[in-house]
Amino acid sequence: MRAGTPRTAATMARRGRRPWLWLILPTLILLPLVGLSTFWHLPTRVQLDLATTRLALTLGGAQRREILDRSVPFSSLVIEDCGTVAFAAETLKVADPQELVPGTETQPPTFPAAAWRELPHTGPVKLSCRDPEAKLTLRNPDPEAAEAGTLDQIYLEPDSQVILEVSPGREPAVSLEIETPQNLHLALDADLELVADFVAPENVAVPFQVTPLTWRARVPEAHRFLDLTSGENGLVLIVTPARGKAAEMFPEKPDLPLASLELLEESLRGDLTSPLLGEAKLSYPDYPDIPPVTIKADEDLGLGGLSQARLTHLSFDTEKSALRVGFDGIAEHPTSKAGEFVRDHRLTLFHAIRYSWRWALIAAAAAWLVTTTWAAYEAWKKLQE
Amino acid sequence: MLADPKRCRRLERRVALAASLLIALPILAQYDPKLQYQNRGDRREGLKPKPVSGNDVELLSALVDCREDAGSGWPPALHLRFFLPAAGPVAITVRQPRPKSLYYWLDEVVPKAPWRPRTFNEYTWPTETVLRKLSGVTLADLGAVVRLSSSKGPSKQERVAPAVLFQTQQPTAASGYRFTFKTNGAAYVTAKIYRGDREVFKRPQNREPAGSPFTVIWPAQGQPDGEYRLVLSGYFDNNDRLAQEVVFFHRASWR
Repeated sequence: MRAGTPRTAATMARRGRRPWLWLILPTLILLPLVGLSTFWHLPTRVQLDLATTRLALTLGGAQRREILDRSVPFSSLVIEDCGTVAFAAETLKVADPQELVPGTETQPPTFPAAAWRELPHTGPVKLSCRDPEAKLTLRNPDPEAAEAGTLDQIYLEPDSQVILEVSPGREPAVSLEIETPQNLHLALDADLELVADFVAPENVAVPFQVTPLTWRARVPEAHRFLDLTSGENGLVLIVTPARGKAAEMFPEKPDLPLASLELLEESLRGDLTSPLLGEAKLSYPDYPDIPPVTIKADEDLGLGGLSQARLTHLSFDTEKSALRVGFDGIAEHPTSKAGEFVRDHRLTLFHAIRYSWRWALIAAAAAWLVTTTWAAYEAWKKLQE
Repeated sequence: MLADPKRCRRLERRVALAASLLIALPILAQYDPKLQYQNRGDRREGLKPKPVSGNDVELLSALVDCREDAGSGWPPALHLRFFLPAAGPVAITVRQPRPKSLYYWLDEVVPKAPWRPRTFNEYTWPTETVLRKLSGVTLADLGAVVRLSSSKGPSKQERVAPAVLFQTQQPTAASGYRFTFKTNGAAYVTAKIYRGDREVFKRPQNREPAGSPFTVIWPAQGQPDGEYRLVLSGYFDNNDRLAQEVVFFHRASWR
């Protein structure tokens, strides 16, 4: 080609622009991709550390699991939705409700010795909870006693729900609403006090028609057990742990597979409220460089679309009347809501690239490859000239 | 190999597609959205999350004690009947006093004709919309409060009309009443019923755990028709006083 012709001049001008084009081309491609990557949300593995007054969970996996520790000692146990109750008794008494000395702010209600009537019976005492309002309370007749008995193993079926709720009071308790029907074999102390509300004795004639009635039983040493069957839709247990034994209520590392986890309640006005106590911490274990998110106590926390989710920690803090919960799993929709403001805690593709060592390695390798290829190409061109 | 630009683009496209699909997946609800609490024309009805009590003590249900043998299934319609002693506002709430995670709730009833004073009134609604689709809920699980005030929420002093929930057998008499309450803290509670200043019934003091419903049953046989007061008294574990009054009209014959 000859120099100085218009065609040659145009070719030269195009060649002159080409390095600029090559220089800005990566920016032109990468900038929109980076922008787009900040909107591409990914299912996100999160860890939660929180304190709550209520927790509803659905068991995942395919095997039945326990939520409580193997043998939880209790000072008081309230049973709702019971089916039948049976226990052996050496002696059985019922108190005349008319003789109750009402409690005051400083003194609990008591029955004088004369209030107790001996109840003749043969064989185990059987109680039936046919009435939908039936409720049974087990406790030690000695208010100073630390313990009244020990819970049996409580199994949950997969896909069944359990609701744990703190029942506040001088001695805080935990209420467990369990969907899985239960047959429990509770170990008892020698002396047992029962408060039976709408619970009908099957083989004992009771001289009083008022409810609730307070019973006392001396349990034989050879058979210190109470057999309890729940209704067909499970039961509610309100467990007051034995004094100083609240730490033994839940296993140290429950590692419970979860299908769902709900941290919401509804106020009387119909508003959804948060049961969180204090601030919760949400972190991203796959990206330790991303700072954890703080969720305030009044924020509603939602974890939709769980997979590979586990309850990693559960304990009962009696000082704060709270359940301390640890959670680890992938959530498609980890969100929190403060008033009308919703925060989406999913990570984006940008986070995945920015904070992942794999992607950092790929980016470094790509940068190295581009620069060395470019340098090699330039060197080859020089050699050709 | 990932440094190959074509492969990188293919990987990016796959990641983008997977992310879009996952975001588009709906959250699976435990129940059909059609069952959630919403406007149903003449009432609001459906399922709500489990409530927390904002009051010290809350009246959950006030029923005449005459449940019929409901059997296992739901009839096409459910009836709520009550005696309205005087003209005035009426607010009906039907609910599960012992709810699970989700619980049935019906309120904001708009009657076809205005409620008639000094006689029996009835509200009927279909079970097809919600109740029949709920597993594990029977007539025995439902409670109702007919508040004789424009406020549908609870208060320290309530004026109610005890109601009957029935499927087919209309009651002929009110031989007793079931009042169900719940406290938001462990409390020692005594219940008494008065006619004027005369005590006609007493439920002994009992310790009620927080959030656990308890029921006061008053066998009313032989009691004259008229206005009665159910008074709850006691104290919470923190020594705060507990007080609640429910005024209701007892009418023995429901014919």
